Amino acid sequence: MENGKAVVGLGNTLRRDDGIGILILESLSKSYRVKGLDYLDYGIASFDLAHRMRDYEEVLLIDGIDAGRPFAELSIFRLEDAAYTIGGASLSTHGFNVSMLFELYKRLRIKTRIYIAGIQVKDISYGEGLTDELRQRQGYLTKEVSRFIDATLFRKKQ
Amino acid sequence: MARNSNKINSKEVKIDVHYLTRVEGHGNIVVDVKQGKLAKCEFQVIESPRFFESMLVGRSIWEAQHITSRICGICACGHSLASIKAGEDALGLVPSEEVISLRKLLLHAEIMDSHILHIYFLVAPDLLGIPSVMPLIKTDRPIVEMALRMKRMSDYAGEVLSGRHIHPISYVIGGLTQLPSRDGLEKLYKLMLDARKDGEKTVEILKKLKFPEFQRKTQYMSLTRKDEYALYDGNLTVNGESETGAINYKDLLRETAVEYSRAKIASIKGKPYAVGAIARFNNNFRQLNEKARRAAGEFGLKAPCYNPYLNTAIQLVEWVHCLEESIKIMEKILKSGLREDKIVTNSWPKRSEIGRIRYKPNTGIACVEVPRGSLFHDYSIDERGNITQANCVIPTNQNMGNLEEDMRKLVPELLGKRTQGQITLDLEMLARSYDPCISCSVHLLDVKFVNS
Repeated sequence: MENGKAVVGLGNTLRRDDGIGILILESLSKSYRVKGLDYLDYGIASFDLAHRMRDYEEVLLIDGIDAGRPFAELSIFRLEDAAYTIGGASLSTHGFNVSMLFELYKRLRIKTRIYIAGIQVKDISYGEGLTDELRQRQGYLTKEVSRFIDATLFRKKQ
Repeated sequence: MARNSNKINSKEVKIDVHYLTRVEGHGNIVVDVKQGKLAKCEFQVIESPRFFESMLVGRSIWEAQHITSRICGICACGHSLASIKAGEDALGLVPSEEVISLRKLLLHAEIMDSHILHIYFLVAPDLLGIPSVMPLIKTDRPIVEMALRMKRMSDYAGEVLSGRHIHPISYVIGGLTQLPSRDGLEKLYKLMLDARKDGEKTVEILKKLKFPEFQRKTQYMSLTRKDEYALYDGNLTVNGESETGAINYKDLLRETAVEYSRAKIASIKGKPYAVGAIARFNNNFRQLNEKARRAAGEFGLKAPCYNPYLNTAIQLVEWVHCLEESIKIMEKILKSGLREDKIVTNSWPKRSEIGRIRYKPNTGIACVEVPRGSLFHDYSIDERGNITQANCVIPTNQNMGNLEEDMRKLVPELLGKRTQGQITLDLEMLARSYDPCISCSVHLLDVKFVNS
C-alpha cells in the first residue's frame, strides 16, 4: 500500500458530460489538499486502474454514470452495492471499461475498498464543455464529494 | 454473434459479426458468399465520427497536444508526441537531443504498455480457446499477475516521465515543463530491469501457442532509419524501399471514403497496405537489437513476414526491443543526469501571451510510430499561432483496406474445410490480430442498483 487513500477522476473531457469526473478532480486537487490523499487523473484509461488501485487501502472513483437517475444527481456507493453489466461472455474493449475492471478486481480478490461517486450524465457526444445544468452544479458536486472524503475516507465527524 | 457449428454449404455462406469483441470500439465483419463466390467482404466501422480535427481548429498550437492526448486512452502519448512534433515543425523549433531521448523513452513505454494489453488480454484468449482473460485468473493467476506487473512498469514510466501515467502533461512543444525526479527514474530503472524476466517468460508462454497459418503478401509501410528501429522519426518506407519524408505523406498515401464504413480506407499506389508491428518488423528487422532478434528467432520469425496473425508475436519482439532500448536510455540518463537548461523549455508562452505573439503562418506535419502503426498529425497555423486546419491519419484507418483484402483471400481458402463457426472465429481473430483501435472509449457505467 502506498499512501493509503486516493481519489481518481475518470472520463473523457472531449465528450461533454463524460468529463465531469476529471473536472471535479481538478477542483478538489486545488481546493482540498489533505496529507495522505493522492489525486489521480486516469482520463480514459480504465484498464490501467487494475494495478494502480491496489496500491491503496481506499479509493474513490469519480465518474459519469448512466443509472437512470435524475440528470446531474450524485450517487456515492460501494462497488459491491452496484450490479453492473459486462456485456456477454466475451470481452470487448468497448466492454473493457470500468465495469470490466471491477470484475477483474473481484476475481483477483483485491482488498482495496472502492467507492464510486457517480454523476448521472446526459450528453456524452463529442465536444468540449459540460451541459449548462451540470456545469451549474459542478461546485455543489465538488463540495459533496469533499464532504464524503472527510466523512468516509478520513472518518471526520460532520 | 451466431456461432453455427454445423458443416456449411460452401456455396452459400453469410457471416455477420455484429460488434466484434476484444477490439477498441465498434466494428462489424460482414461476409456473404453466393453460389460459391465472395459477394461481400467488409469490415464496417460503425462508430460515430469523432470530429477531433474540428475541435483543434481555432485553438492555439501550444495547447494542441493536451487536446489530442485525450483522443485515445491507449495511444495518448503517441498522439501527444505527433502533435508536439507537428507544432514544432510549424513553428520552426528544434528540440534538444536530450528532449528527443526522453520522448523516445515515453514512446517505448507506451508501445510496451499497449502490446502487453493486446497480447495477454485481447489475443491470448483466442489462442487458448477461452472467452476472456477471466478464467485464467483461476487457472493461471501468476501469469495474469505478471501481465499486470508488465503493464504497471510501462504505466509508471508515463507517470515519472510526463507527470501523469496517461495523457502526458509535462511534454510540450520545445521540451518539458519540468524534469522527471531522480527518485522516480531510479525506481523506473529497477522496474525495467525486473521486467526482463517477465519478458522472457512471456516469450516462453507465447511460443507454445499456435497461431493460424495464413499468408498474403502486401505493402508494408513504416518509418525507417538506418541507425535505429524507427519509432519516433524517420523516412516513410514501403516494402524496404525508402519512399519519402513524412511531410510528403499526402503524395504517398490516399484516403477514400466508402459507403459502408465511417472509417476511410487508405491506399498506396491504389492498393491497400499494412502498418503497425508487422510492417515495422519487415522494414526494420536489421535495426532490432540483439535480444529482440533472439526473441524473433524463438518464434521462427523472419522478415518479411506475410502472416498477419503473427502481428501479435511481432508485438512481443517489439516489446523486448523497446525494453532494452529504454534500459540503455535510462542508464545514460542516470549516469549523466538531466540538465535543466537542455530539457526544460523556455519557449513556452505565458497564458497571457497566447494569441498575442505573432508567428509566420505555416503548416507543420509529423509522423510517429505508435503501437498500431504510423500516426500523422498535420496542422496549419495563422499569424496568431491558432490552428486553421488539422488532419490526423490514424493507423487503424490505414489498416482497414488491408484487413479486408486479407479476409477476401482467407474466406475462399477456408470454404469447405471449416465450419461457419470456425470461419467466423478465424475472421474475428484476423481482425483482432491487427489490434484495431476503433474509437476512444467513454467511461460511462451502466449501473443498476441492487440496494435501492
